[in-house]
Amino acid sequence: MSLLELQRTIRDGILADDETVGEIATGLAVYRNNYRAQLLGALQARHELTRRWAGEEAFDAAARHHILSNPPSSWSLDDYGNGFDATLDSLFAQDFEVAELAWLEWHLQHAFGAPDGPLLDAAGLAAAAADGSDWQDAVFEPVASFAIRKIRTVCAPLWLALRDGLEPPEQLVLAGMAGLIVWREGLVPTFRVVDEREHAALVAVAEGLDFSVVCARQARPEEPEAEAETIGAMLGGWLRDGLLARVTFASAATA
Amino acid sequence: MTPTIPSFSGFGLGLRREHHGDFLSREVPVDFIEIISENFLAAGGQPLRTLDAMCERHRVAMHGVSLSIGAAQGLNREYLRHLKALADRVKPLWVSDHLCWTGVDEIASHDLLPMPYTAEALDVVCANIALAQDVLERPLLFENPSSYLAFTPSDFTEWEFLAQMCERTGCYLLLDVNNIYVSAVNHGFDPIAFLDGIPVDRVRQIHLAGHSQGDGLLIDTHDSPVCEAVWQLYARACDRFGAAATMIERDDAIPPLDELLDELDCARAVAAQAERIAA
Repeated sequence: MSLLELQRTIRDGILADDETVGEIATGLAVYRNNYRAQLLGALQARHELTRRWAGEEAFDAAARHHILSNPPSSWSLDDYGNGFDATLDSLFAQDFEVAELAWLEWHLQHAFGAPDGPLLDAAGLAAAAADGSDWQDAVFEPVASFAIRKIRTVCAPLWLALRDGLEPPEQLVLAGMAGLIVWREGLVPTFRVVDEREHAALVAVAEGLDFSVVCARQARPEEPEAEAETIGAMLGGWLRDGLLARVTFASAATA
Repeated sequence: MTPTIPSFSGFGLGLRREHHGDFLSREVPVDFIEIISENFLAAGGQPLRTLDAMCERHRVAMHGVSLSIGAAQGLNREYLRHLKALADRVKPLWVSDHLCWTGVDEIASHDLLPMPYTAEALDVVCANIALAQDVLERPLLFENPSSYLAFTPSDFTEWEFLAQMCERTGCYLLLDVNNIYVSAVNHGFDPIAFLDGIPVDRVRQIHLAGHSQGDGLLIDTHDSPVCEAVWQLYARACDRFGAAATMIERDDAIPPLDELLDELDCARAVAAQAERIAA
């Protein structure tokens, strides 16, 4: 057996679930237990509040389910758990807040140690656009710590209540859809709930789409002045909050 | 000429998050600290500022767990790039990892998986070490991990494999005395024969740690103090390898820092005793 075949055989033994693997060598069982314990520990450590809210037994069962179907690919154990909210979404289908809470908790911790990088402010934007570049071509890049998702519950106040040992909100489900963003301001991870319109705009930004698309997602043809005002206010807020790393102009790039 | 790593004798601790405050707020009597490289790879924010503050106060060794030097499919270039950037920032005493593999087909094990000691494996490991040392522009140290599986047939013993690896690549060794003991018990070899088979001039660091009794096997759990048998083996290692940098490694059930410093004093006493006997 070649080294590669041997490594794949050991890998398969470690990843297999209890029902398919059957009897395995004692030594291989140690490695399999280590693998599972490492991943379970990583999920527990990064979701302390979610685990408390969902219940330790239910959380651990969901984590074990996730581990079986989602082997890690990153060299960093800290990266494990990105996407765990999707598993929780399916396993806690009646309790939307569990997945949203897990998403928030994981991304706050990720933001804490996310790579440093440039920060775009109003002066930087003005300088970048000073050559008369067409705003419609502007492509904004969010900072490395930035993350966004749709929410259906008051997961943010719930996170605060759990962190501070307060009573959780009585009404968990929002009246309508909203968005939740996470990023790091200076050294401090932070978050903000955004409405559907800002959520749509920020998703377009995160997807690397140009500003014309960002604006189109806000389009209110019946109120063009209000639309421009809203977009301007949003962009100003993103710059003040430190959500954006840089801007490039397609027209300048191709000039 | 192959670059060398100068000898550095001293006593240190593995830096763990639980002790960051201690290391930053008071004088901690250690000669060096060892960071887990992956905790700071591609990192920013407070973790990187903490690392910078540690580097200002202490000499630092970098110890990794994800290089996967035994991977048949070769090394992850992106990982190497990040490791190089971190080493350039930290300017460590040295950079170490383990003789193991930690993934195949882009699935990471997050555990130190065992190597067979075959000629093919030696070729793979040496090629990977050559690449890693080339990218990092420095010789590396490799640690003997505890193992729970043995493979047959083998072309080498573990210590023969390590010695060959050093000879062919110019790399150095981080001897984990606890791991020698754990593997010796698990696989039934003589730990003294292991020590005697290691080239004296290649050892730059020694790890000491605790282990647990598992189901028919000893498990390298790093969750308890160093046991008497490992202290005795450490004394033999001091006798053979002299003043290699020695470190207590604790990864679970982490006690207050002062408890680890007391244990480090035990290591100092054992090393001093070995030195007196040698003199």
